[in-house]
Amino acid sequence: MPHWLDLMLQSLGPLLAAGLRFTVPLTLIAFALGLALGLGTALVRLFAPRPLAALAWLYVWIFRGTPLLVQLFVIFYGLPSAGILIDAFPAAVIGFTLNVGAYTSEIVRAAIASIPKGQWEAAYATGMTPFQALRRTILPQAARVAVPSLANSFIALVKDTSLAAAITVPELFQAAQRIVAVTYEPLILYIEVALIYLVLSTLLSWLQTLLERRLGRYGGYLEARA
Amino acid sequence: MRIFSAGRVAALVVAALLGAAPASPFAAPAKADDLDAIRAAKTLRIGTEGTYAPFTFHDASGQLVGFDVEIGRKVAEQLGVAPQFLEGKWDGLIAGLDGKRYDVVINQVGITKERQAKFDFSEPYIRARAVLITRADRSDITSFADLKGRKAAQSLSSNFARLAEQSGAELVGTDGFDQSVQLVLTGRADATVNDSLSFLDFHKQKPSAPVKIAAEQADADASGIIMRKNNPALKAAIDKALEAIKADGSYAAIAQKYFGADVSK
Amino acid sequence: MIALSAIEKRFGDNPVLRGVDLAVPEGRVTALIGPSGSGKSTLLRCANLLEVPQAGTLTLGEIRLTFRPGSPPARRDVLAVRRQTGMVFQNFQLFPHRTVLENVTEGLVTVGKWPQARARARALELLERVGLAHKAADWPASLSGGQQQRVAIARALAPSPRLLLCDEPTSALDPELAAEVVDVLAGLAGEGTTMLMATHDLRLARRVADTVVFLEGGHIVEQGAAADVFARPADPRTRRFVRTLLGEAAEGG
Repeated sequence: MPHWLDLMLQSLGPLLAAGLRFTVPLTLIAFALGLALGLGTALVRLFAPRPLAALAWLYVWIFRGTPLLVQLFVIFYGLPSAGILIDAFPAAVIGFTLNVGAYTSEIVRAAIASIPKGQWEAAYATGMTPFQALRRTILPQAARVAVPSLANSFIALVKDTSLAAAITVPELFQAAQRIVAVTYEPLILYIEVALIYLVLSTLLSWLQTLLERRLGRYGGYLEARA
Repeated sequence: MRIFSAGRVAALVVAALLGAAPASPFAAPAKADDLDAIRAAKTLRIGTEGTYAPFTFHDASGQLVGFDVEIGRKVAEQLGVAPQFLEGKWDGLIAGLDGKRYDVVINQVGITKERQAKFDFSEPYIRARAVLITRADRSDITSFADLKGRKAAQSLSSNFARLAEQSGAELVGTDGFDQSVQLVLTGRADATVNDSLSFLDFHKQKPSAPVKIAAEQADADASGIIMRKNNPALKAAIDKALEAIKADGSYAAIAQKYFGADVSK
Repeated sequence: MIALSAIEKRFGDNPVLRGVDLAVPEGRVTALIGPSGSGKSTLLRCANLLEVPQAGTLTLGEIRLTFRPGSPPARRDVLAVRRQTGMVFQNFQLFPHRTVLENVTEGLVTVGKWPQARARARALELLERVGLAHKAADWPASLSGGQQQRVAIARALAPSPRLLLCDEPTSALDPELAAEVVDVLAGLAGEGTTMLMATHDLRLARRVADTVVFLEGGHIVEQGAAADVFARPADPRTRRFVRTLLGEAAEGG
């Protein structure tokens, strides 16, 4: 067996273990929380009174306008100076959640805004409250509009979690760094870790296609057919 | 002494290869000692990085300062010539000696066999050793053996990470000494292993930070002033100069200024 | 008793309704006609508070709301009015993510808290009435415009509203497709459904309406029995408008 293959096979165990223990949970938790945060932020920006909406705008502005790595460093290395000490994994969850929340809020906001005003009116005309209209009529349609962009964010997040290595989370990429530090084989290990990310994001793209097909089953939008 | 940068590793390898090569058949006939040329020019040309605090760097006003720089000034003074600092990247510093761009390089150059095969060193002017750093209030870690099962914050690719690992520590990966110390201070790691000079520098910058040296390794790594081979007069003059500045207290003053401690042993 | 009285509505500085009084007799069909911008659609939308007037009174059964600028009606009242009215839109506005059947049960289940089975039975009954029971499981996007509008009518009728509002129900449809919608609405009228519609479809108004109200510039210019208004309009403005409608109808075949 060639040396590179031998090394890759030997490294696969520790790499997958790091992926399962840190990369996958970090991605799933941060995306679930980030999506909820993004939805809340989008609704606040669209429907809340001005001062609250301005606050939501400020949040999105800051977290979309600054590098994710810097945000992680502020949370993990910076906040202790203000007396806030957060362990590496929770710090990563917080950082990624805030970042995902800011990006998805824009996606969700645009998706909600894209649903024709007539759909709100049709819901109101049947006697729905604004919340019922949102939940039953607007959001299901907005979801379909948002899913491709949200799925892209999700795939980007899987890859971005490698940044957690910089704040000491021993995730997939850091596991590779550790192996490189003792084997001095950066090319082989970093290509291996790249392949693992590639497999992960390919799987997710495939799920995205399934989800889009399911959400798209009701056909095109209904506009007047004069 | 620096041992991590990729450039240094490369330089080391190059030095080793060159050292292993058979003696050049074009060896020059007996030549004058470099010291004569230096005296004639009334200038000692010193190669240094200028980007490696606290050894050789530019202060807020742009002045080239640092431990190595001040040692260089004092040595030149002892030789009775003016120092001329020529700044260059590490990767080209030692090669610059061969190219006669500098007379000496003063830049934390570690004294190694590989380098000694091709160059001469002065007597060591600074020594560093691996130290184990913990929070000041920790009394449960007093030796490297106590690292077993504890978390050590380390730059993953450094030799110190290997040292911590060999002592049984669980590594917490960081991007450098400042981050590692931060993790130790906040209790997110139990300790970090690094060189004594980095610790002294940190301690000098932040005297109130509650960290201490819990243990140190016996073996020290020494750095010397490196020069072209076969210039016995120059080597003798520099060694004499170093001795003189140690004797008159100026070495101690410089060490105190940058490290708050004697770094010659 | 269904009545809008002294209704005033402005959009910004632009007055659209300038003190309109309209009584809608129960069990009859009232058609609002008038040129674009006359305020007929806005008046219709005031009846279920999709537009909230700045002044005037809305009476719908036991509900009586008086409007004042700057003090919107209580949410409870708005919902009560909407639960007693149904609305058919010019562009159908079916819920595209729900099947034909679900479109009709949606309000019953979500708003009326009906049990699924009962809502389903009611929806099938209504789809039967508009001739689309066989499309119950289909997606709205697969239906023709006329079929979509008939589903929309079934949806609006599901909770048995006191008043059915129709906003230009045929104007987004080809004449043949419009005809099937007119047939359905005529059937409902024959069963005594109370309707208020805004339209410029002469065939629809002539066939379905009992009373015709002609609006222009935010005022009611003339109202009366449909046959009278179309045959012998009293006001010259009404006469001019009816003539253009007749012209369009002739063109449209």
